Amino acid sequence: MKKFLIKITILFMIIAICDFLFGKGMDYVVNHIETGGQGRDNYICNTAEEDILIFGSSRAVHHYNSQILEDSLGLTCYNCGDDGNGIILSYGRLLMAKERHQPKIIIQDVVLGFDLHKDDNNKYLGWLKARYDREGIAEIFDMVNSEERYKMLSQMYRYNSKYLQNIVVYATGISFNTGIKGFRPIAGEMDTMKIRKTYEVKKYDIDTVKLNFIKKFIAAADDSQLYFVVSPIWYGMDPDLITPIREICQQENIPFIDFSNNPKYVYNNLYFKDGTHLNARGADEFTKDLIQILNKKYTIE
Amino acid sequence: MIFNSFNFIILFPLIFLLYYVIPAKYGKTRNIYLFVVSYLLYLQWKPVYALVLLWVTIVTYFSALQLKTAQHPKTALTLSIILSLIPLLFFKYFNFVNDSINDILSMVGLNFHLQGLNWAIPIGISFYTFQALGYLCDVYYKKWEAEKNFITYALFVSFFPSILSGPINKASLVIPQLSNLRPYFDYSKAVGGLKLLLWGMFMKVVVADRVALYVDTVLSNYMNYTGTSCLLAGFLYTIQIYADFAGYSLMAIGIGKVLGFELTENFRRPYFATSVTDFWHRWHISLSTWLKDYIYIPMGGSKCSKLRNYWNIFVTFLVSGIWHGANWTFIVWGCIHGLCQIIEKMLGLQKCNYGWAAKSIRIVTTFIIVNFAWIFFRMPTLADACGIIARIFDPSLPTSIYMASLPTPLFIVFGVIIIFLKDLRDEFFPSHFQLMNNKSIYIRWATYVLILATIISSGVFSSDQFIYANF
Repeated sequence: MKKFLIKITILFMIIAICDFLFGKGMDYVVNHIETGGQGRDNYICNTAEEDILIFGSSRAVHHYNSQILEDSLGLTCYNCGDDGNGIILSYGRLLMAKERHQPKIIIQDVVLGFDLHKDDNNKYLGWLKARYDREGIAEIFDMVNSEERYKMLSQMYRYNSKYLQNIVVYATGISFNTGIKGFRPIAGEMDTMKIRKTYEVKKYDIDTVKLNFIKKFIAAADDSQLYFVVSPIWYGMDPDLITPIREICQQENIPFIDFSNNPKYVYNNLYFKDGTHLNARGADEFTKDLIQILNKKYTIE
Repeated sequence: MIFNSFNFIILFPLIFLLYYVIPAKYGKTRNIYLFVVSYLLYLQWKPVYALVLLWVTIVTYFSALQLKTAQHPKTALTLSIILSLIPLLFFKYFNFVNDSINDILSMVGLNFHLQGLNWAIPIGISFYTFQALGYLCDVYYKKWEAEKNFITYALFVSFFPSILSGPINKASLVIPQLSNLRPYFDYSKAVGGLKLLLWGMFMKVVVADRVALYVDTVLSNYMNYTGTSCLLAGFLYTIQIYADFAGYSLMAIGIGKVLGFELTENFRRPYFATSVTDFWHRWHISLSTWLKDYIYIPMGGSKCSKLRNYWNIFVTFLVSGIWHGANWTFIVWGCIHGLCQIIEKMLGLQKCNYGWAAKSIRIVTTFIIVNFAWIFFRMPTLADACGIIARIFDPSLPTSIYMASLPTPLFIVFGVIIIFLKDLRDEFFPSHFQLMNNKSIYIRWATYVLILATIISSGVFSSDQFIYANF
């Protein structure tokens, strides 16, 4: 038994040393990547000082043309959205961006699945793992899953699943598209293969964790002009589904702009690539429409 | 509590150390400790369902004791089986029967709506119920004496490594280990157990859960993907279910070994089977053994007319399908396997005595058949299963393949190749290319570190379910 326990201890010590070295190596690699998703994440977390920051999921990334916003509003802009993410990543990235400056305008693109419905919130922590030591990020992990604080002791876990791509990108110098100021337009016409014949949003429980993150996001926005926006959806959307977020916005006096049932976009193949994503043309059109509303309703300084 | 959960990874060393604090001479105390731990872990899920486990345990325990003195043992056995099966039938099959009756009634124009249950199924119910029934039948057939010590028997039914998803152990394997004094600590067994635990964890979190990211994306919305993508997802599901279930079984057996127990082997490289019959000698061995011992042989097995033998095979696999779930998809899946074995028997194809080329063709053919049958197993309805198949064979669809975001395909290819090479080595070159059992300590330890590091750095930890835990 003694021999067994000693050997197990030695094995875990070896693993701990490997883990430490792996973490040091990956810290170096990650911080030297300038392209692709990691390069974009580095920019958002370490460099971005734009006046307008846009947060949200792939719908944010593909729908908000940063250049048009810059040209129209005369303010600098960066699109900080990320595929498959929502308010949890938005909050984390906003905290890191705020370490350097307070943006003038913050836009959060709202998606029911990522910002309201109950699901496995652990999946939204992916990009934040490597930033665990930054101020306020550990608290996000605690809010989502208290076990994570122990898992984050492992450096390998912090770079779980991302290390391979990062090493390849760093070692080969392959340049990936980081978008135009974070905005990544989708080229092409509507892909009808991707439209569901029967589309209905399933009944989900409301996730109080996500609602808490929305409140924290609003608090972190502080003096910035904050907007919650639902960008166009080809299928349209039952407006009642978004009520909890709309109510929070009303309570906090935050403008809530809903394009989900805008007749210009609903079932309009011209502007979409699939049921939930605008194509480049649709994104430009939507950004212009959004700017009109922003200009009409609110004073932008 | 599942083995790849953070809670279990923290708790298990504690369970292990406390177990070995108890001296070997206090065998009964060790059993009580394992019994308490098993129930406490089971209570972690839905505490009230521990009563179902207790019910099955009590019914089979007392029934087995009564069988010896019963005036009508067959009636007593039948009654005991019915009482033991009540929870399983109620929780698992009530909705299925209810929905089927509703469908039949609506077909004849009677639109009654009989309310179904919206309850979760007690976890592991199919496994521990079958294990307990196997024990009862063994006592009835006088293959095994009824166990008098309740704790020993209750531990046999609820033993935490195997309660969630098997293996379905035979009383003759486990009860003697529980009844007799076990050695205080068996070093080589514990090391062997940790190796199985490590490899099982690799199969589950590095391969199965990674592959699941692709499979779930495509098969959950198959109408949005090309036939080629559906075909690839179908192939990958074949890998996923193997890595998931065999991985779980290895972990269960490994944990048992670390505690000094031997549990039933459950997988033996099933995708190298040369026939569907051979596949069932390699896949979920503990279930196929159970079905053979308690369904197939009591019905007459192969010692009867050919026609009757075919019927016995068919019924056995029909039961296998029903055991897996209350859904027509599982029944069709079971029927496909049964029919294939009947055909193999009729054509005399069950054994492969040919050369390498023929054997390879047989292996590929069997894999394709099994792969096809898994489509029914995976999809929620028969219409969806047929929809997938129609899509795969629809020539009008584009042939493009959906590619997940970059790291996922790389990890999938890596995982599938590793598992294939490991099984290939185990099947054809068992004494060559040893890594975890290499004579050199450096190679052994390098392998341990590499596998552990791969699990931490490349495993998917957001999945908290095993496919077979649903059964």
